[in-house]
Amino acid sequence: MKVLVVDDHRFNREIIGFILADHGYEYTEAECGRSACDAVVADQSIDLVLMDINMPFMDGYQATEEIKAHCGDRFIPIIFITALDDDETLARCLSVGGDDFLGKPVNENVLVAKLKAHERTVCYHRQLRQTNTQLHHHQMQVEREHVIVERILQSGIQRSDNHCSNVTFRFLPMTMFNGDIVLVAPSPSGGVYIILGDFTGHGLSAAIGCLPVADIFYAMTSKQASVGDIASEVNKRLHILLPSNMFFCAVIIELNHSGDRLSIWSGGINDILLVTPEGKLYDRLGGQHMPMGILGEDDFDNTVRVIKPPLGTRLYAYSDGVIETHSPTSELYGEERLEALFDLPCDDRIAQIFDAIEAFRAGEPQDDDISLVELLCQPVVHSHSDSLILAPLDSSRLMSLPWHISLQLDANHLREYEVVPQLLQVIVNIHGLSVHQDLIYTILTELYNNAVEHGILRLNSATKMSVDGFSEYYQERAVRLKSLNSGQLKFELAVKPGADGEVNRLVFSFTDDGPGFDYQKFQQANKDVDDLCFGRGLTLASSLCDKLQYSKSGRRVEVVYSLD
Amino acid sequence: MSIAVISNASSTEATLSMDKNFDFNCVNEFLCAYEGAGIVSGGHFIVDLRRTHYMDSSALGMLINMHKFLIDKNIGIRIINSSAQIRKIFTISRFDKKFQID
Repeated sequence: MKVLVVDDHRFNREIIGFILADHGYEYTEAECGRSACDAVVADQSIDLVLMDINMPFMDGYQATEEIKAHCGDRFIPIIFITALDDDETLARCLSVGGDDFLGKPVNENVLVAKLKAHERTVCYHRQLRQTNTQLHHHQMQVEREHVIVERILQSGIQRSDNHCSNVTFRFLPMTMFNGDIVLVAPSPSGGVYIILGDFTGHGLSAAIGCLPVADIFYAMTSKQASVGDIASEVNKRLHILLPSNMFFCAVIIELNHSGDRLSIWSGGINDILLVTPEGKLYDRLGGQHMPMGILGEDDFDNTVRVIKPPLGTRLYAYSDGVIETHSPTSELYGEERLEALFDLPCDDRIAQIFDAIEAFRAGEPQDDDISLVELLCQPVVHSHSDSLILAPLDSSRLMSLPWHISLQLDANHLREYEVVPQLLQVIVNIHGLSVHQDLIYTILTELYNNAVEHGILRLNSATKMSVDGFSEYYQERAVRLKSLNSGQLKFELAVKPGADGEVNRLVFSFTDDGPGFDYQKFQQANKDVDDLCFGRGLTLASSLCDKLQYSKSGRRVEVVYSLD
Repeated sequence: MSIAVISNASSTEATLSMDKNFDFNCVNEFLCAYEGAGIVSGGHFIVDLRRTHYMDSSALGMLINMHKFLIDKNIGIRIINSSAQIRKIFTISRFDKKFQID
């Protein structure tokens, strides 16, 4: 502790100096206010000033003002030492920024006691400053990280450009990060999937759990997984990831393409409300299961509730934040108030509910994330953002290389290999073909099977006339194929790039070395096959492509398929 | 190839969940699945094509046979979760007239 003693009388400075030295204080001296200011600026190690009032050049008051103004964050207590003890003087000492005063002549005990008291304050102040600096650094770091994490979460969670006009949702996060999640994804069969969920807590720790949920949801819905399977998978992942005091309340919904079948898995979530086309609330679906992330794989129940609501039914699901919003008198909004809203006529139910909550809160701070989703049960309509509509159109006209693939298969290959899947694997890698793979697979399968069954194995479809014959036919197919030791089947494929904005086309053929058949006669004989369990293959294949043509007495079949 | 069969307790409804490929490789398994499910008269089958990507004409044949087998027993069939591509195959084959497809 270093003390600056300011007095114009050497004698006074010396007396105080002796006391300070006796008690182990380091000290330095100044003869007037001016030099005291200079000393404080020059010597950063000065911790405390003992200040006389009346001095030449600059008095103690002014020096105190200047020192305090200069110090800013650096805290230096200033104790006035004065013979004057009138109220006005003492008040002025403090009002110019002084911290204490002491009578002259100086009493040793009082001086030392005051020094000790101020020393404590200096210590506290230093610690505070240090802590403040650390906090400031920490805060900057957190803010920087939040910006990064927010970006990651946003792009990780909301990645679908698909818009489904059957679904309306809104959420209101309490902080920058949302512990609620609402995701919507189209199903490959034209329906729609929704997940609405609420992690325990809110803010970053809750939001981080949304990432794996979104990953699983998008991956599984694109493969048309069932709602129960999605629930199992999300639960499995969260069970591993989440600490035991954290879990995920959620509902997963699938509405089929025609809009009349709902599959629902719900765990730990508020009642799901069903509303008639006329707007009347007619049913509540209570939670079926425990929230996700609690039970292990073996105990988890993925049973799904299937309901078939009349067309025009609306379904509402919401997170806790809706009914746990509280008013200025700490009253909760509650389910009753929410359900009562459905008695009022309304065009935009979601806006109405959010307005009602806002009004109920009456300016109170929001204390949880709020989310709400409405699903209209009628034939599902999807639309994409512009960028997505353009992409597939362009790809069909994209420059494609003029591929030609030729493959000669002998009895060994036909016997041992799954030919069509392997062919398809090669073909889908050709630019622009992957979106057609399901239909191309069907065409390839039909033509390949015809060539193998009739051209190579010489099976007769008439066997399939009866139910037993149908099975026998395929048993016989397996038997003959197993013992096959002769026969040739040639496959050829060519990509014909379209010129001048024309779409690209695919031409492929199978040629077998069998006896051939009368294609025209076959066509006439198979006009009405609705009740037969066979004879559809060729008709099917030819309806799926632009042109299907037999040649070489029925031994060669060629198909033209437009990649539009 | 595997077909998952789930029946309800009262044997009025059974769901046949088809695998990725619904083709001639599952002729017998499919036959056994609906013949062995023990669904009572007045009940119905649901053929779930959720996992199915590819279907060939023998699958259409199998469905026709199933229909023939069940119609005398007054048991219905519903086909659910078919993808757009598979629905196209059903439409071309006019299956939408004979089967309930959604």
